[in-house]
Amino acid sequence: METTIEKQQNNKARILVEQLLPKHFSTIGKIWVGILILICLVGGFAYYRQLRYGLVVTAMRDYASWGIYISNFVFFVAISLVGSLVTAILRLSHVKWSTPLTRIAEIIAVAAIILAAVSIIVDMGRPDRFLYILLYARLQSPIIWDVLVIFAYLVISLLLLYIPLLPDLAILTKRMENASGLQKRIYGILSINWKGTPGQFRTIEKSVNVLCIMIIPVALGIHTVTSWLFATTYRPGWDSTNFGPYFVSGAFMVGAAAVIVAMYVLVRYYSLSEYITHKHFNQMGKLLVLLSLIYLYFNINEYLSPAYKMKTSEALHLKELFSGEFSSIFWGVQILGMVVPILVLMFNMGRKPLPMFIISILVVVGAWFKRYLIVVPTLLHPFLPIQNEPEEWKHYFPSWEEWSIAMATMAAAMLIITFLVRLFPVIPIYETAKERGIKLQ
Amino acid sequence: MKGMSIMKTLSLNYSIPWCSKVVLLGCCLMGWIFLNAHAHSNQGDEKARVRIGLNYFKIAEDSCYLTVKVLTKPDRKYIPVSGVIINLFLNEQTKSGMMGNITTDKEGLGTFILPDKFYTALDTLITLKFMARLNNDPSFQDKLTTVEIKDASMVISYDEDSLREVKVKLLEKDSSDRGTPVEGADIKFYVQRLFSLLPIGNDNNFTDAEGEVTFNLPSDLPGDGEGNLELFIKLEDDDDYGNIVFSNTLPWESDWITVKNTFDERTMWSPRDRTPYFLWIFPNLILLAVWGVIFYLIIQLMKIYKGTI
Repeated sequence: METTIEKQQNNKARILVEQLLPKHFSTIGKIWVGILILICLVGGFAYYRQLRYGLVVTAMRDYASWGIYISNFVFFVAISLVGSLVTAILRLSHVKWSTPLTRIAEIIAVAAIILAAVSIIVDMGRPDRFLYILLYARLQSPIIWDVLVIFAYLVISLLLLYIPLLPDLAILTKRMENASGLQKRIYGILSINWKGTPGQFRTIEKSVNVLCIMIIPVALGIHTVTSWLFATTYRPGWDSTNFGPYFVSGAFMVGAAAVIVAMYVLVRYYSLSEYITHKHFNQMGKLLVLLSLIYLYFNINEYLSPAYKMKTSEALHLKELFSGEFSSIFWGVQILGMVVPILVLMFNMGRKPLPMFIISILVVVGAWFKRYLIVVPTLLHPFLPIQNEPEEWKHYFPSWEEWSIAMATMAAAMLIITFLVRLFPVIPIYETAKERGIKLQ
Repeated sequence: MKGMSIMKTLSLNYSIPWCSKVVLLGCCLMGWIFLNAHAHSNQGDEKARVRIGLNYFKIAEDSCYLTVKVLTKPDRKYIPVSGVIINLFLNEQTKSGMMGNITTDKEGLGTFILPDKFYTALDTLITLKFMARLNNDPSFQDKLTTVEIKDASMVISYDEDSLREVKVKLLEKDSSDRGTPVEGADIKFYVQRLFSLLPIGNDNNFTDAEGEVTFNLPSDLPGDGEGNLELFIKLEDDDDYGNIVFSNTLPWESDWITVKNTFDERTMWSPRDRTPYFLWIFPNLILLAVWGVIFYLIIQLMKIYKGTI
C-alpha cells in the first residue's frame, strides 16, 4: 500500500522525469536542423573544392597565411573553456544554482572542441598530413603542445559529459517508451549496465570530482598553449607576455555568453522555465559582467602600453586597428562586444532573459571578430616585409570557400549541440531530483 | 526735373555706341587669349634646370674613373634625371680634351672609366680639370660642371711582424718625384665583409704634418675563409684630391668566426630525436599524469560495466 507521501513523491518524480526527458523536434526544430544541414552541405562542397584545387581557392597567401580558419579555431577553443568554468569551477566552489547549466556547458564544450580540431585540419589543406604531426612530432613546437592538450581536453570533456549522464541514461532506458529502436540501443550501450548501486554512485561522484579538478589546469593549458602559438612568434601584436591570461579571460567571457544564449533558447523552446529561472539568468549575468571586466582589463593592458610607446615596428599594426582598415571592426568589438555588455548587465533590468540573450549574442559575435583581429592584421604587418609581393597579397578578405567552410563549422557545432540536446536530458535529471529531494525509482 | 533732363542728354551724348563696345570687348578677349597662349607657349618652351654632380675616383695607382649624377628640381625636391647624355672633358672643352660621353641611368647616375690614352696626361699633369657638360638637350638647360683635382697618391706600409699596424702617407704630386705631404686629410679604414665594407677605427684619422697617419687594426677582426683580410683605405670626397681608394689583401692568419655546430646537440631547433631533455621529460610527465587519471576513470567505467562496483 502506497502512503499519500509516497504517492506525492512518485508523482513529483514522474513529472520531473517527464519534463526533463529529451523531446522530439518541433517544426521549428526541424527547420533549424534543415538549415544547419544545408549550411554544412555548402561548406562540404567548398571543402571539396579546397581539397581538389588546393588552398589556392582561399584568399590566404604569403602574408595572411592564417585566415578565418585559425580565427575560427581560436574561437572554438575559447568557447570550449565554458565546460571547465560552469562545471568544474562553480562545482568546486559549491555553487548550487549552476546544476541545471552543467550539461549545457559540457555539451557546448564538447561540440566546440571537436570543431576546433576540425578547423585546424581544414587549415592544413591536406588533411592526410595531420598524421605526420603525430608521426613526426617535435616536442619543441608549440603546435604539438596544442595538439596534445586539445586531445586530452576533448577526452576529459567527453568524460565530464558522460559520467554524470550515467544515472540519467538508466532513466532514459526505462522511461523513453516512445524512443526509436536506434535511440534505445544507444541508451542501452551507453548506460553500461548501470544498476544504481551505492557503490556506483560513489564511484561517479568521485570520478566527477577528479575530472573537475583535472579539467581546470588542462582548460587553462589548452587556451594558454593556443595563445603561445601566437606569442612565441615574433610579430607585432603577438609579441606579448600577456597573451596567456588575455586569451583565457576572453575564453571564459565568450563561453559564459554562449551558455546564456543556449539557456535562453532552451527555456524558450523546451519549456524549461521551471528549471532555468530568472535567478539563473541573473547569476550568469553577474558572472558575465565580472568576466567582461577582467577581459576589458587585459585588453587595456594589451593595447595601451604598446600604443603609448608606438614603436615604429608596432605602429603600423596599431594604427591599422585604431584608425585604419580594421578600425570599424576593432571599435565595434571593443564597444559592442565588451563595453556595452558591461554597462547593460550591470543593471537588474539588463539581467532579464531577453536583454541577456541579445547581449550574449553580441559578446559571441564580437568574440569571433576579436579572434579575426588577433590573427589577420598582425600577419599583414610583419616586422620584416616580404619582398616583391603582388599588392593584392598584402590585403586579406576571405574567399567564398573560406566563408562557407567557416560557417559550416559553426553550423556543425550547433548541429552537434542540437542532436545531443535531442538525445540526452539537457538538465541532469538525477542531480536535479537529488537537489530537490525527490527520490527516483 | 530740368536738371535731370540735362544729365540724361549729356550721358546719351557721351556714351560709347554699342557696336564700339562689342569691338572693344572682342579686342580685349583676343588680346587675353593671345597673351595667355603666348605665356603657355613660353612655359612649354622653358627647359628645366639641372644640377650635375661630378666626382673623381682614383683606385690606388691603377685606374681612375668619374661618376656623374644629374638631378633636377621641378617641385622643391631633387629627382634624378635619366637618359641624358653628358660630355666629359679633361682640361678643355675641345675635341682633343673630350674624353667621352655617358648616358645617365634611372638613378641619374653614370660612371666613366678614363680611357688609357689619357693616362699619359694624368701622369704628367699636377692639376686635373674635369668637366661634365649637358649640351643641347631638348628638355634641360645647358649646364657645365667643373672639378679641379690635385693629383695625390697614398703610400701604405705595414708593421712587418704582425701586419696589425698600418701607416698611410698621403703625398700631393709636385714637380719633384717625392711629392708634398698632405696635412689634415681625413683617411678612412674599412674591411670587406660579406655584403659591404665595414668601417673600422675612429671616425677621423687626420694626417699629420708629414702627411702620415698610423692606424692599429683591431686584432679581433675575423678574416675570410682562407684567413685573409681585405683592407680598404680611403680618402673620401676631398675638395682638393677627390676620392682615393687603396685596397690590399692581408694574410691575416685569423680565420672567420666558425658558428658553433649544434647539429648533434639537443636544441630547440633540432630534429625530434634530439629534443632537449627538459622538453622531453616535463611534457611527458604531464601527459603521463593526465592520461593516467583518464585511464583510471576509464577503468572505473569498465568496472561499472562488468558490475564489479
